[in-house]
Amino acid sequence: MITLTDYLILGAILFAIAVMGLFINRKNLVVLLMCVELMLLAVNINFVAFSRYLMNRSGQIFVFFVLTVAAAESAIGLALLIVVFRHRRSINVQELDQLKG
Amino acid sequence: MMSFSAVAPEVWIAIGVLGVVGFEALRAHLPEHVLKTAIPATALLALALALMEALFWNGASQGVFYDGTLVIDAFSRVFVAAACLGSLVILIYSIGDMERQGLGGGEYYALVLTATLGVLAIITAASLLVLYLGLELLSLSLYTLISIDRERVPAAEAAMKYFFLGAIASGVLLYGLSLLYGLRGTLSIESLSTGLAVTGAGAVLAFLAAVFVLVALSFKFGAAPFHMWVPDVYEGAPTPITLFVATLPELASIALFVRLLVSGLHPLVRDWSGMLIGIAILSLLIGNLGALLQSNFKRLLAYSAIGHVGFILLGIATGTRQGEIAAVYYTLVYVLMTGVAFGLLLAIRARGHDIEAIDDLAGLGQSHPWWSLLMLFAMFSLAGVPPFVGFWAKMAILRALLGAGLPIVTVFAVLMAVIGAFYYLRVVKVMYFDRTDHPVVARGNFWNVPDFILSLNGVALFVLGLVPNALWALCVWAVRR
Repeated sequence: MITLTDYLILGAILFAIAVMGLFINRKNLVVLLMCVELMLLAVNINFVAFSRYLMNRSGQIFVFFVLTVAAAESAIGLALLIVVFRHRRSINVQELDQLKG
Repeated sequence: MMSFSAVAPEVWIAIGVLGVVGFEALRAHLPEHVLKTAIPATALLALALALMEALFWNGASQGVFYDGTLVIDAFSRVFVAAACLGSLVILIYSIGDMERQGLGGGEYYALVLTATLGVLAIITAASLLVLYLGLELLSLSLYTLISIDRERVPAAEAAMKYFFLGAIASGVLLYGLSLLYGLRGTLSIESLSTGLAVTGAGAVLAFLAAVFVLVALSFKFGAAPFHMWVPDVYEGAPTPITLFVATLPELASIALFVRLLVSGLHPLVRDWSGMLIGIAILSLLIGNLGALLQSNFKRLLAYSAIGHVGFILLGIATGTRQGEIAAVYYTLVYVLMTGVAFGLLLAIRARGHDIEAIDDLAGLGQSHPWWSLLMLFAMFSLAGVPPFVGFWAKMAILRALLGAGLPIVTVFAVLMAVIGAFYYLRVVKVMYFDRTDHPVVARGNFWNVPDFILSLNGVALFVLGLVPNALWALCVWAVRR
């Protein structure tokens, strides 16, 4: 029997993996984008689990909006990535260091 | 009951977006000079109509609309009007500069309008879903606006940093919202304030949700220790966009705090007020000490923004009504002051003098006496020198802190304000007393509509300082329950 707690723990673990990925990864901007997506998907698991447990549909509707926004967000992220790559010929996180002070 | 009157300002702005995009789609078929007037005119008209709707909303249409997704109360009315007015004025300031840089295409106007739409959605949100969508609409528009000049390397880098930090903040906020939804079983913000558990098993989850929400909101507001993006974005973005980033999202952020934290999570006020005081103190410290080290003027204003956010958060952290009013008052005043400071950079640039470093201000007192005087107004007001309106804003926060029984924090805030005065006065000193090898030549002795509105905005800092009660009364009305 899979209970609500199990789903919440799964969501929390995925969220933690995403946050860890964001802080540990210092090389690749694409991996950062993937981590952001994983973060939103972890939240979606929470919403769907709560929605099922509470027998309330608004959580599942929220998930649809989150998915749509995540698509828009990654589109903009990839566009920015291409702009950066054109200038630098690199997508290394550590080379984003022109602005300082 | 279905009626469009509750979303009338939003509808006008949405029509404006469609109009701008429509004209842009017809670019190949219309002569250039028609587009050059039609696109800005559509955007300005849409904002002006939205402002009119917001000002003359009839009192009968107050309440919660559309299945509990939208709320029209005094706070909505004041802030929707402020956001529309702010967006309109910012657009008027920046159109000339964007056109000269060759960035005045339809996408600029469309993105400014969608960002404004996002701010309005946040202000009027009664449900967590609308709040989140408004926040994303605002953020996604801002990421694109910052990198609108694709040839500028610093702009792309600033946008990239803002994008990732902003995306993380949205993720964290969403996680908090999912926990709140699980606890209450509804997305309505109002139901949070009545039934959130403060004891028992739910209390841990509620506390966790409050932490997530608080971190995300501090991120969006640019408070320390989540402030890393602020100086980079201010410096990297083109100045007209910096003007936009520095003003409109602040209105959205205070609305987020008031709606989600102060009203929504009120049962947990004991949990979050302590954390918020810590964030505010750190913001004051990093903002004011960081500003001392800056030589770039826009970076200086960025650190000063972090310091001012510290003051605003102190007001909210008191958890009292007086503190809430003071924070709202401070935000409105701050937006007014920043508008003048960045507007002046654009006005002086229109006269052939580009200001990047603080030293570029040298000799401005002689060559542009009127703009220098307005800059002095803005700096004195930001520093909190009486009788300028910035003084009354700081005063209101300090009074609220004393009222909430936090004397040590009050003393600390005063000390930080004194440090802040140093770097604001340095700007005034450079402007009036420093000699330069390359004296600024006054060029273009002309006046146009943006100059007139900018002057009005600058003089308002002084006049509102003489009659501080006018704006205060408006804030008291806005925050009434």
